Amino acid sequence: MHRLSHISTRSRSTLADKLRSAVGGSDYGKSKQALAAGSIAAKDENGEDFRELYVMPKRKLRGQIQLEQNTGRAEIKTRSRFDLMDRLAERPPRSEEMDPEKHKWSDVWPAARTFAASVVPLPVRMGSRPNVEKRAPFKKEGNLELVKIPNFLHLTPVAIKQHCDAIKKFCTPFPPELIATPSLAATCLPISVQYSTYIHQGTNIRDIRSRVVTMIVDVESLKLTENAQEKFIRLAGKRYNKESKKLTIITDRCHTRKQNLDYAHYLLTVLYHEANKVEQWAELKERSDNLQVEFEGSETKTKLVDLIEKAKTAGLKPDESSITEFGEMWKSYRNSEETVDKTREYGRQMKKLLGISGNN
Amino acid sequence: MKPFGRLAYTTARRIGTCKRNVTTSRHFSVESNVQTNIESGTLYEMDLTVAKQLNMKTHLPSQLAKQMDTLGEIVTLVREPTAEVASCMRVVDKHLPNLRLVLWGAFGTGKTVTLNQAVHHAYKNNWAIVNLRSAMELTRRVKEIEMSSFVAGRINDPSNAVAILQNFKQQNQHVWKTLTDLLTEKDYEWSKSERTLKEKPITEIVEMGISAPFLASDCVGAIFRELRRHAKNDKLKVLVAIDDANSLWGKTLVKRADRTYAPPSDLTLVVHFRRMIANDWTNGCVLMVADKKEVADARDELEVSRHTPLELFGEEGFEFIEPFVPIETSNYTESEADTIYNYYVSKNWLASKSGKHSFLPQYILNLPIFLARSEEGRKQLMYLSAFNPYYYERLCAFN
Repeated sequence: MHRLSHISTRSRSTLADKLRSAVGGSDYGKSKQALAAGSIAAKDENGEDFRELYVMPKRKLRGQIQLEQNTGRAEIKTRSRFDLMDRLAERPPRSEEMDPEKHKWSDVWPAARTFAASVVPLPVRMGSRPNVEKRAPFKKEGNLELVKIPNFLHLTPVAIKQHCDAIKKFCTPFPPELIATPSLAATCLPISVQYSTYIHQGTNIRDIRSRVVTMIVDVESLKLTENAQEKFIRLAGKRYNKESKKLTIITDRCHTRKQNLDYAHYLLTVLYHEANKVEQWAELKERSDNLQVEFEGSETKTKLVDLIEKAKTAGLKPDESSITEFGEMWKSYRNSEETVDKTREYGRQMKKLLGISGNN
Repeated sequence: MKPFGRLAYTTARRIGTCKRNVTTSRHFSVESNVQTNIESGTLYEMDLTVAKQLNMKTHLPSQLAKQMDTLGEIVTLVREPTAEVASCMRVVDKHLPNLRLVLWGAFGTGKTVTLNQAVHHAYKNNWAIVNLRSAMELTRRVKEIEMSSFVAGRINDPSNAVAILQNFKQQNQHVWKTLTDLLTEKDYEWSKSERTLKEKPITEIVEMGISAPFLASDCVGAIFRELRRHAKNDKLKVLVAIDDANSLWGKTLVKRADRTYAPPSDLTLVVHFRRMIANDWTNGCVLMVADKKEVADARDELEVSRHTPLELFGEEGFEFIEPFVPIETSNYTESEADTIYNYYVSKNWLASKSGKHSFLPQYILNLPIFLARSEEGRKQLMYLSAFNPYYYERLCAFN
């Protein structure tokens, strides 16, 4: 295109035309002459045109206009901006427009969402500047840091209350008996389930730890027979706490909390039924296989009874009635951790039983 | 304390030489009849000839035996457990199965000393004495072994058996006459050529064992058996005093032919002593010491074993010795510590009045041994020893 226009220009003022006009003489520069004659009509005595000298442009210069405006000789023209109509078509941000006192915030921000500077009517700032005294942290508009962090703007106290009020009709009151006597919970609610929910800053709302379920069962309330309970305790192993008589099952092998809870219930069921089974080999159990050392039927008891019998003939005054008391003490002595105090108590009761006083 | 030991010793020798001939007034008495006069909190002197007969030099803790050598007398403090043992020994009767007492307590609180006091008490009352210095010797210090010909699988220990018999003979010289009057129940056929006939004095068994070590282990069993029988028939009363008795159910260092360690129930002497502990006989008293040295391991820095009977005897041993009366030995009370302090002062065992010896630096002179006779020294000794009898004695001694 450019090339073509070039050619056409050349065809309009060809060298041939110029030569032709030079030979003819008069026609050459006719248009220029006409232009010059139009501006100033005056001609000198030789008939030649008056050629004006260029000193400055004929319009007012910028400095001149400003000087006039500043001195009040010329009026200042105000002009509207070129994009005025575009600007008028756009709505101002809601945060400037809304009245926080009249407007209901939970309607503006009903659910969890990322921070929006135009919506939140708070003059929050975030970011770090080297010298905060001189320059405040970055304002909220266009501030990515504010967008990255989680916010709880949907969880205002008012919103929570509103939510609670809404679901209240589905709830029943907590049993007042349980509030009055907390010990009742152990018998009425023998199973308690514990799990944790995790909230943290990050792109993923899921946490692997939230799947773990801990189920605590009061074994007493299973109403097992004595044999079944012993089997239950043996099967449960270290999951059973013999002080509190509670079974603790921790499940974490499934992916979700629901699955783990189901699995815990499954384990409890299996344990219960397995404990109630009586196998053939269970009858082979001997005294030494017991979980605890018993005083009743022990060799110690027979020896002790025998000794007391002989002590009577020997002239001592054994205290036969305290043998049950001794038996209880003996059982706890044998089945729990031995301490110095317990040994002293053992000696005291033994002396009382045999009728030997320490200082005769 | 240790680096200054030699220095302190030489110093004290120098100080001591000038004060050696100070006579001290005794505020304790030699009791002839202990049966009625066991009073805790008093000092009690044992006759040296008696001490020699009872072999106190080997049976007492070595530090106390050394002190006995130095001071030329055995004076021990009669404390609560001794009185308790004596009161238990008083109820021993021909109808009553033998009374089993277990002395237990922390290290250094006087278990062995109490045991030896009881042995002396038995001596005073003309009891027969079966005393074992340490049951650990039967399980861990076995020099030579022989397989028993009497029971298959049993391991005899001739050297210890002879030692037991010799000790028995030495300790029972006061009742030896009575023992020679007691007769054997049956024929004992020790080997093809050696035998002890029925109706012979039971001391012949002892002599037999001493003269023929390869028969000694069986002789120990036989003499114990005869003692039990005669005690049942009320011919005499027997005190069985076993130190570290829980070692009878502990571990052994005796190897069998297949290079495994033999259990203590395979050792003849251990079996004999266990039979002595069993309460199927009457008219006797078995005094045992539950000692931590059986289970404590010096190289184990993490575990601290208890000193209570069940822990030390183990389930098996505990069930065997039940029913027994545990008797606790404990630390000194302040008055007991004072009694011992006054005794040491009166013997010039604590010699220095105050730290005024110019040739020693002051920080050494501030040690309790250099101001022992002052009030401050008395208090320092108490608190440095934390009232533990063993450490109290150690602090008062030079070595």
